[in-house]
Amino acid sequence: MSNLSVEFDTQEGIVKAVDDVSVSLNRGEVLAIVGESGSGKSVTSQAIIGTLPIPPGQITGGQIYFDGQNLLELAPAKRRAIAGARIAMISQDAQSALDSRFTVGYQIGEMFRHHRGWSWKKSRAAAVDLLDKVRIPNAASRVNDYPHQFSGGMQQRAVIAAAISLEPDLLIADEPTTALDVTVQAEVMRLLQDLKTELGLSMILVTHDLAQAYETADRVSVMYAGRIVEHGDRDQIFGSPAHPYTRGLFAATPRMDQGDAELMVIPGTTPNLAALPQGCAFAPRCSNRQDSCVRERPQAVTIAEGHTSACLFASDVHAFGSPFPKGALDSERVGERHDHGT
Amino acid sequence: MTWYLLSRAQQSVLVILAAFVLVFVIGSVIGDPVDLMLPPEASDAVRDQLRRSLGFDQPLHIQFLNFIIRVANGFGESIWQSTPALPLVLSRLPATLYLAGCALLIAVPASLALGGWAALRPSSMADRVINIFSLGGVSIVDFWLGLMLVLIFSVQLGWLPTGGYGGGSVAYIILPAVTMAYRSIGRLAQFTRSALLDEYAKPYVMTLRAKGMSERRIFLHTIKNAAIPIVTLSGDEMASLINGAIVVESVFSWPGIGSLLLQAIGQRDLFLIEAAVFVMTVIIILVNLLIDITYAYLDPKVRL
Amino acid sequence: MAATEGALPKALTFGASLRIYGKALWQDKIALLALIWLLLIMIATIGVDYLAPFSPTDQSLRMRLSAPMTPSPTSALPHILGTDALGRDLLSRIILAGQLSLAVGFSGVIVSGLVGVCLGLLAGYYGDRTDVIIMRAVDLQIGFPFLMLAIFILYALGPGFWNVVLVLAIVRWPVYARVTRGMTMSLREQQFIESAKVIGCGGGRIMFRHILPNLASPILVLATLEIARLILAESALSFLGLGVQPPGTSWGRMIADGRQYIGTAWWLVVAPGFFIFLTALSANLLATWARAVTDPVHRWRVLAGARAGTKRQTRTTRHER
Repeated sequence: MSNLSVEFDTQEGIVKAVDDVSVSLNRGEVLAIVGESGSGKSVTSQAIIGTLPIPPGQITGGQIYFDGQNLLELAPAKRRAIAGARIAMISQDAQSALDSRFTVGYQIGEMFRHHRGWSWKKSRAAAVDLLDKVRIPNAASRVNDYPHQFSGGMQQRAVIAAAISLEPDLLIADEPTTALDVTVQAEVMRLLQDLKTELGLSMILVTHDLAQAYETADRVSVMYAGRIVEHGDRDQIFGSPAHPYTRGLFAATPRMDQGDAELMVIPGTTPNLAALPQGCAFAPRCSNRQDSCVRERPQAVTIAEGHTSACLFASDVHAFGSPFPKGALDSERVGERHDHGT
Repeated sequence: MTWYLLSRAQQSVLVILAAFVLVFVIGSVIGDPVDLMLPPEASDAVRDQLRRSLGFDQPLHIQFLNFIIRVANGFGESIWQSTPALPLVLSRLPATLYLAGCALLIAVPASLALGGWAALRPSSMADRVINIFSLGGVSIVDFWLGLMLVLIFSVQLGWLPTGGYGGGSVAYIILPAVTMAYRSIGRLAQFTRSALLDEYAKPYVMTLRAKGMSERRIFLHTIKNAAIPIVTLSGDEMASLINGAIVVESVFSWPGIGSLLLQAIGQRDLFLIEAAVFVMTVIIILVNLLIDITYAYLDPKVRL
Repeated sequence: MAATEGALPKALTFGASLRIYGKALWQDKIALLALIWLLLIMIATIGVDYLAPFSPTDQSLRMRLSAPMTPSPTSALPHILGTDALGRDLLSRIILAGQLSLAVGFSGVIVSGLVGVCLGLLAGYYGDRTDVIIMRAVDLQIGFPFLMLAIFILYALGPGFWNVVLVLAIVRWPVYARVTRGMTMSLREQQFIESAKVIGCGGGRIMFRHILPNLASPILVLATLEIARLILAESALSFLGLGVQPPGTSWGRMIADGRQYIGTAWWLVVAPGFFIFLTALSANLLATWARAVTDPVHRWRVLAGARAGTKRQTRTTRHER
């Protein structure tokens, strides 16, 4: 995917929700897109699978290549044939993602029915197998339940079952655990990881949860205000982040080894996309801000092989080294997941 | 579910009781029953005699008891027809229900088609035309529309009869049913459109798109979701169709309760009027109850 | 969230908002035509003595039941819409009848609106028992067939202008009560109402000075719709002989009177019905437009002069941001 830009026509004018974003992903890899709410993570994933509401959304530039084809140039019918079958998506809120008037089994089965033209009977049987695969007990009887008869975790599993039903090549998980309880979150993430290994999926994990990104991803992109501010291998990002925003995110994450120590908070709020400053979008909140940051919009610079950062002082920031004490990353999880209340 | 049905049925019974009291209050308290039954030129002696013979000179609570007894005996004797009023009204009921039912059978599919069409192409030319057409439905005087249809299809073209029951044959019911259906189409089509647009805004539609489903299949989902409010409103429409039958029936000389009510008003036949009003009210309350039961059945969340 | 934004519209001076709405109206030609028609009909009915082409009461046996466009022997103007059974000019009669039709519509809306809004405010603001009692009455009445109730009450009261208004008010107040109550309840919980309470505003003051202004536009939209509805209801009642009595006349009454001539003088039925239709349609169109313009979710789209927005688009935008 290269130079993708998406704009929205809103009350406050044209908003660049995604600005010149480029990422690439190899087969079997997991890419985590990390950022606060409103940073353009979800819009990016919607653009890939083709569910952006147009209008008011508008893809104003860029290409999305999937298996050598530019998705943005495909005819709608071909695009639909890829969506679901080869690229699948799991959305944030399973409860509203499921249609409450149809049984869970129907909603999984219609994948086979629609994409493969199977009979309803055969589709339903396949749905039972899938529910089994996502570890829903008594799959054979629960297949006829309505979504509201499922718990939140089970709903998300059902959504996952539908997503993996046709063994897609790429799975986009848009904050798959935000709406779930902490304990259930872990189970769902474990399930996703297992499925990824078993089916050989590539995965884009959209999340605001750094710990989740660390555990799951091979590579990490950090988004801020519609742009990718830092990109690199997992170990590069976590080992020695080269953008002040990434550092800020780490500092704002609760850690096991710090006990009750006070959390750092990134001052300010996410910027209004309709009125971005002329210079670096993060400058107003950056603790290392220099005069030039306000004037000049930083371009991505390469710091190491595969590690880029869009900060004028990337190498200086990079030189700070690891934000975590030695061993913290390996011995413990970066921190128990806490919902920061998005 | 059972609990819901019971409480709903109890509510209906309450409304029916209220209707009962209201009929008494309007007929005997707001209006002077003797004035309502006799022509204005009747002499005072005649008035007094009627007042005494029907017990309207008694205190109100006694009158109310008399009223209950009278209702139990079929709302008293119709002055005009000299038979108990209630059976007379009930004998006209099938014709009214038949007409309202046919109107609904026209209105619902037409509204679904128009509303669905408009919702799939919001802001298009078709959407605007449908919008104005359906606003026309709630802006038109139904008896005038009926007269216009008679003028065109009966007087000018001679295709359809001007009125009457015709033993319930299709030719006779087309004009009155279409006349009544148009107003319902106006309301239902607009409602269908907005209900569908609401559904299209919900996240599950995005999931369906992400699953690569065709627009046809997505429409299947949205229409099933929108069905519940639409069914509910269709029930409301049945009620307002029965309501609207009063005027339209008289335009087409359709032998239903509506035209009976009008004749009764013309004859100053108070007891017959009371019976007609009460029966129609009860029918509408029952229709509403039926709709709520259907609603409960359709919605898997309430069904539990 | 949306509710908060809706409740606290950006403060605009009266002149500025008038200019914005005027511009939006100019862009929507259909709504503009509707408004022009309503204004025309109101001006014509009020000034019937000066504006009608003929005296609406002048009879002429020689000219009775003349077809539309028949030249008049006494005037340069033809009888544009023909004449009635007494040879009176139909257009002038229609304008005269419009007086009563519109008067019933407006008075009915004012009376039922006043009652309904006040009760709705009380129910929504005080809640508890006040709410239960008022809403029970509303539910009860909405369960009744409204035309039937109106016919019966009017029969008991006897016909006449004020009785018609009274009856329409009795049957229609629950509509306002319901809408007002719902919005009052959501407003009641909001910050600025809390603040008003804290600084010691009494219930009445809060209801009428703080809540009511925020409900103004939806209630006005509802009232516009109700005017159309009441004009139709009045015509039905008059058609049944329960409304306006001779020598007064209204559009519904004219249709009823013309009915017996439908075979020979169709214009007597067609013309007044068409006036009702156009007037009610205009009110409905205007109300639909006003709803789109004043709805906080929709209005920026309409006001921006963009393609008419749909809920789908607007909602997703909000979600995305």
